[in-house]
Amino acid sequence: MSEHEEHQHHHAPPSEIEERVKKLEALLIDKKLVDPLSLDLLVDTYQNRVGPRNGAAVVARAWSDPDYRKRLLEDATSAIIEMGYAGRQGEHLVCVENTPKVHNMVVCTLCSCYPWPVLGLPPTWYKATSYRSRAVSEPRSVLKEFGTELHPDVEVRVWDSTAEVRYLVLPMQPAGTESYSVEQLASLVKRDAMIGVTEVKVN
Amino acid sequence: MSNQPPASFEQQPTKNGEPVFDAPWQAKAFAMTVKLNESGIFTWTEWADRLSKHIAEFETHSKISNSDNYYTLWQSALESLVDEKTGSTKESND
Repeated sequence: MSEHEEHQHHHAPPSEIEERVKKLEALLIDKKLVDPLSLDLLVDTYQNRVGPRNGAAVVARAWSDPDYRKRLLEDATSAIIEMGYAGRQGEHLVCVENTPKVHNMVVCTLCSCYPWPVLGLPPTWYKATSYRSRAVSEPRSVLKEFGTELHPDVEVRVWDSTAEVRYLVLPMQPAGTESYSVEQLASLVKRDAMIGVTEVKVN
Repeated sequence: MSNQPPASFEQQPTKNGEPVFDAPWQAKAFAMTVKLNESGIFTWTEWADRLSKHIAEFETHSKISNSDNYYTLWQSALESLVDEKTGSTKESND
C-alpha cells in the first residue's frame, strides 16, 4: 500500500517536457510574442470546433449537388470557404476524387501537413513513421490494414501533402444512398475515408 | 500507468475515437507554434521544414514513433526555431 502512495499521479511533479513547454510559454509571454488567452482559445478551437464533420459536410454536398462537386474539384480552396470553413492551413486545398478506377490516399511523408479546416488535426497514426513511409512504398498493404481491399485493377494514387498544398479525398458515394438527405449522407462520411484509407460504407 | 487526462481533455469530441491531444502540454506547444506563425515570427514553410528535420534526425536512429515523442520533437523544433528567430530560448538552460 505504501507503493500506492508513491505513485500518486495527481501530485507527480511535471515531467521534463512539461517544464520545457512551460518555460517556452513563459518566455514568449514575457516577450509579448504570445498572449496566454489566445493560446487557450486556439486550443479550444482545435479540440472542440474544427474537425472531420466539416469535411463530411463538404463531401455530402458534393455528392448531392453536381455543380458544387464541380467547383470543389476545380478549386477546393474556394469551394470549402464557400461552406464557411475558412481557416489556417486551408490556403491551398486540393480535392481528389475516388472513382471505380482510381483510389486516392493522402500522406505527409516529412511531417504532418493536413487540411485542418475540413479535418481538424491529424490522428496519431497519420504522424507515425510507419504510415508516412509505408503509404508511399506499399500503399495497398497499408489500405488492407485499414480494411480496404481494392480490386487489383484499381489504380492507387498517393498524394504527399506539404506546407503549401493539402489534400482532401472525395470518396465514392455508397450504392443505395441516392435518396438520403445531405445530413444522412454526411453522417456516413468518416475522417479516414477523407484521408483515403477507407471507403464510405452504409452503417 | 494510465496517465489520465484532465476532464476537459476527456470531453473532447473524439471524432473517430481519438483525442486531438494526449496531454495539455502538447496542445500548448501546438498553439504557441500557430500563434508565432500568425504573428510573423516564422512562415509555415519554415516551420514544416524545421519539424521535418527534427523528425528525420530522430528517425535515423529510431524506428519507433508515437504521439508522445512526436510532440516532443515538435517542441524541440519549436525551441530551435524560436531560438534562431529571436535569439533567446537557451540562455537559461542548464
